[in-house]
Amino acid sequence: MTLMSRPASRSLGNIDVVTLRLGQDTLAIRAEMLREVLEPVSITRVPGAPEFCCGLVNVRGTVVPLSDLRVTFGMPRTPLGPDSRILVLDLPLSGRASVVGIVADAVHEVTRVESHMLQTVPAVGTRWPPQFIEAIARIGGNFVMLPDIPAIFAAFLGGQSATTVGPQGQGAAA
Amino acid sequence: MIDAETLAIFRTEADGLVESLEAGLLTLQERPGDRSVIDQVFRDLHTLKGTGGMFGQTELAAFVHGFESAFEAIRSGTSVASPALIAVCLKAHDHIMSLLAGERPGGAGTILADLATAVSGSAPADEQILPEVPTEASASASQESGAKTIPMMRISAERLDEMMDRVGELVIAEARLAEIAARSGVPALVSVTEDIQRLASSMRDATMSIRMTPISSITGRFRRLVHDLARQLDKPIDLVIEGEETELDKAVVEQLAEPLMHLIRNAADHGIEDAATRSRLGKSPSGQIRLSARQSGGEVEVELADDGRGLDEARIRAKAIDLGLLGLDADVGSADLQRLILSPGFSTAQQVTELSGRGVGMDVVRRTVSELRGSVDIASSSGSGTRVVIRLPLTLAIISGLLVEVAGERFTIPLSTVEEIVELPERSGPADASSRFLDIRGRLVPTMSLREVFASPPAPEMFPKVVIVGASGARVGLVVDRIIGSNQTVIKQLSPLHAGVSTFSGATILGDGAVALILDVATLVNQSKRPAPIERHLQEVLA
Repeated sequence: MTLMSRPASRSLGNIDVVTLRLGQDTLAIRAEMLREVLEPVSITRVPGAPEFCCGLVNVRGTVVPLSDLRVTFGMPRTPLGPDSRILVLDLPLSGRASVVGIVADAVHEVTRVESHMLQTVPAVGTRWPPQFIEAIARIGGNFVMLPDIPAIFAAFLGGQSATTVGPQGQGAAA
Repeated sequence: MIDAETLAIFRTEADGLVESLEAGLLTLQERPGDRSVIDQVFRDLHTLKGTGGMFGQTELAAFVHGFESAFEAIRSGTSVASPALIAVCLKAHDHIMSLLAGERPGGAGTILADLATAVSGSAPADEQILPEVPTEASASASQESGAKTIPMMRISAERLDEMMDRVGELVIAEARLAEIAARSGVPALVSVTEDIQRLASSMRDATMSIRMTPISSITGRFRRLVHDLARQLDKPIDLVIEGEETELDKAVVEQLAEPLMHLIRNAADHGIEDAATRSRLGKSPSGQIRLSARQSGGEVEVELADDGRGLDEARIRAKAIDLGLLGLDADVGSADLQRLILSPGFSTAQQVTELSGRGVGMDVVRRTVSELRGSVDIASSSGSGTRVVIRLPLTLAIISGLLVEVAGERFTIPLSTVEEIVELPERSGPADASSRFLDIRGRLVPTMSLREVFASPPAPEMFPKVVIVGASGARVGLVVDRIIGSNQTVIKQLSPLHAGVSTFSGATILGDGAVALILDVATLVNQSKRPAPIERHLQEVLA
């Protein structure tokens, strides 16, 4: 192990992740933020809400917003299928502890990624917006993206206050 | 030393005393000779000293002791509560506040010396000066005013919130039980369910009534604010408060303090003219700020009015054009112009001085009030003052809702806003229902198709219903597919992710576990009220 192969930042030590399928891609999300995985439940559409978070679900008596990372990564949105799952995540929003749900086309497994299997994102050469990728991991011989969930939601919240969204988007409480 | 819990008890107790002390001092300013108030202030000081000593707050106890000793002169009648003396007393009060906050403010000696000077300078006639710190106050120990008090108990807000959460869950569970019982048709189950429903609903009412707090819990600080502003700006200003007993949910009252503070500051600073100008205009030399609160239906109206110069519409128009909010020849009515001052662009300090109008904090007002699911209206007439009316829902926690269906999706309309439900007459077909007016007993009410508002998939509406709702004095008919019924609605706030969606004020969980959105009627009414382009423009500006 040379000095060079040490993790680039403190946050990239050995981490536990849950792997999931989104469209044709496999993603990994830090297990520490995962609260639970739900079978698709009845999703309430929020008319006028941006595509990224156009739904609400009931998670044990709490109303939780449902987000779709496929919008962030420009993937086509397909209806939920039998393998689809909702990942319930603990995530601070605007500085307040919050719970959000994200859609996955399938959830695979929880696995440990050693720090030497993690690398930072090359500035060029990926088809995904690099600011939304925390790292790339090698899991079972495949490259798997770790989306930077806090960055994705922060960017959405920031963008929302800067521009109006949709016909009903003039937010009084923005 | 003392542990955190004991300290918390001390703090709660001391906070109450300090608040009462300030209120007493301010009342004394209006009625310097009022014995009962003088006694009240003295009692507060005395108790504060005792409590402070008991909890090991020696610095506080020593200072309050000095304060109390000086005040003894007023109590014994050797001094009168002159405005100058009250001003020093208020400073002493502030010193106590910062001591309580755990700060280490200096200047205790100076304040006490000032107090002594003020006391000696306020002798009623040619009375003798009182020694600065007389011997240990021989004061009679504080007597709790007995007669009308009922036993009280302090409860931490946190426990109350927790209780409200539990009641909220109980109401949801009860609704589910009711559905199951109704489906089962088992008479015993139905009867038990009815009992539980009755209990849950009285439990809910009781819990909500615990949370109701009179507005008077925040008005004390406004008296102080006006007192300070009047001195600072050198303008005589009277604050008149009406309807202090009006109650609102604790959370609403607390959040209301800041916007009201901004409004009062604006009224004093920009609205009310100085005494000379006022006299020249034939107004009474001292300006008046009137804060009034009253309950009307499911809402509480809080109004802040001043008798100052009013908004300068020409300047607002000029500024709006300057900022690119209005076109040069935009045809804008008074009401819309005045509403512009709520937009964030108008609220930087530099613009305010130029504008001779309001601005500071106005968007704080708008934002806070809309977070509380309320609305703000402004009415101003040049030369005679400005009136700002804030309308707020009584509670943030549970409301009665009317559950409706639109294209297979369910939505809740706050029942307090519903005036009546009518059938949509045949002739106004669904295709253009949004542009139709309904004749409700001789009055034309605009209708809005919720299918269109929600961009729902078009489908034939067999017998659409119109729910007539009202807010801020206007009415609109919401066209829905079906009325499901009324229910107890536990309001869940929407996450910041949905902050941009103003059509809904929250969400709730239905008996079958599904989530239903709660319509923000005020927003919908506003959308229908002004179909002209200016409204869209205003909404963009105010977004």
